[in-house]
Amino acid sequence: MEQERMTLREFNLRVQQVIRDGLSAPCWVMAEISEMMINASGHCYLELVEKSPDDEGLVARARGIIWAYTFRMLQPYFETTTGQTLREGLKVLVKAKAEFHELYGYSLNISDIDPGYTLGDLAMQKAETLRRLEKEGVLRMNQETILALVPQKIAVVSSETAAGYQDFIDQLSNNPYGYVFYTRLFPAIMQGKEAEQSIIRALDHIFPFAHIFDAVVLIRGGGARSDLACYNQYWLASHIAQFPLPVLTGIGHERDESVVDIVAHTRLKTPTAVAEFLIDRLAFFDEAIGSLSSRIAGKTRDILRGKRQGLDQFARIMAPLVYRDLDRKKDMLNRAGFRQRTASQALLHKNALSLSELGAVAKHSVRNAFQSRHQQAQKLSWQLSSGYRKWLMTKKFQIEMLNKSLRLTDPANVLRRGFSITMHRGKPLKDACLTAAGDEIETRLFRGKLISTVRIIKKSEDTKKGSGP
Amino acid sequence: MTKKEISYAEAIAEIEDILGKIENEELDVDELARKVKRVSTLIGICREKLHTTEAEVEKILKEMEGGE
Repeated sequence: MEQERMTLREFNLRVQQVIRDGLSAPCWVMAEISEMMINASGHCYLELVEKSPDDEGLVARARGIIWAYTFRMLQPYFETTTGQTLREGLKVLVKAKAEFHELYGYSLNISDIDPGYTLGDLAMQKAETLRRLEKEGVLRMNQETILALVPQKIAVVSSETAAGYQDFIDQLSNNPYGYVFYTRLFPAIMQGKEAEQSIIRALDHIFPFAHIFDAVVLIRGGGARSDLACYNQYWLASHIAQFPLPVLTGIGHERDESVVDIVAHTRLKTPTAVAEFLIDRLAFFDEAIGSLSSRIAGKTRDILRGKRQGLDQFARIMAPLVYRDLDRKKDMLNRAGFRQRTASQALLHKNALSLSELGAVAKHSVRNAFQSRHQQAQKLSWQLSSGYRKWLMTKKFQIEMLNKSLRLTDPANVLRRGFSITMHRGKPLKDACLTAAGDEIETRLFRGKLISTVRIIKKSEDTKKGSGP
Repeated sequence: MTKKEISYAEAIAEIEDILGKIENEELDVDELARKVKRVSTLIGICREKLHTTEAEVEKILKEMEGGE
């Protein structure tokens, strides 16, 4: 039998025909993008692979093409749905038709993509990373670090040119209370392939100065949609989890939390939210010392009022007693004088007039004695009353001094600045978690009070307090 | 301990301690006056630290710049 001969092109065209006939319908194919390139006319060229289950080596490979007119629609669709840029390393489910070109060979012509598959795969990877961190016991380490009561010294990991960094700095330096913050930038690339290593390097820079700072702030923001896969990477998450300072994130995802957000001490949505969180924390402290001071002032005033009342009462009881005592002493002296006078008169009588001279002397001396006793009594009376007056005056003076120092810590000054004290069951409320929905709370303002019912309780990481009408 | 060196945590702990003593009426009038004055001082220190830039801290941050 004579063998059929044909040109390579003829043969390839026959292969093309076979593929066209046998695989006419498109199929949904799972693959990983190992390379990706978009050319000037907007066509997207992919290298699709399948890895062996142990992640070592490839078990399949094919080229894929998304033509520009399809790619222009697919790319934004994929990216808004997944929050991920279509990029190397992602696993995708694509609707593809096998094609064979006589010159360029085998490729997949891609007409659709299912973002749900990619999301599922990323979620699985994320769950796997979290499991690993948990198993190593580092998952919650950063959350266990204690954030300073007043975090003022902030190490910032960000990119100097990022809009988010500028917003953060502006917000902090223009805070309405005039609080002072100290920030120091440790520059890093905040997105894309190099971000993971770059952020880790920035953290390594901070590490020797950890004792200087109160917290690390990781912020990114503004700009176009970008590759944030780095924030789910194991090594970065592991570094952040084990960092000795509390790490606050404001990475600005539009979608769900990244692994970095989960391990961080506090996760906030945007750089501005991080700034607000810090300012609120200082304001909270400020308010707390204000409220302590007003409690002290109130209690001190009560005590002083009590003491003053005690003094007044004492004075009311003492005065008549003092006078009565004086009267009695005077009376005793009078009587002694009288007795002595009558006694001497009798004696004089008995001893006749010849003793009249002697009598005169005696009378004189008696009068003298009486007079000097009387003077003594008056002096005593004067001393008693003036000493008592002086003692009263010292106490009054002490009370006035106390009142003066009290005015320095007057809560009215704190309230006038716009702070308010929220009372719950008669006590100042410091933690939203101590209330239950439906509880009544009382807000004391500079002028007047508000009685509200708690509707929603948010934990401390949410910065706004929620209370119903 | 100089004024600047007292930390926020120490200040608030001391204020809370004084409040406790006042509320339990453990203090006589003279002591009360001293403690109220002390609270006033502590609050003054905290408020100053909140609002006024400390040259010391700025200096440390500047020196770090050179280390990089």
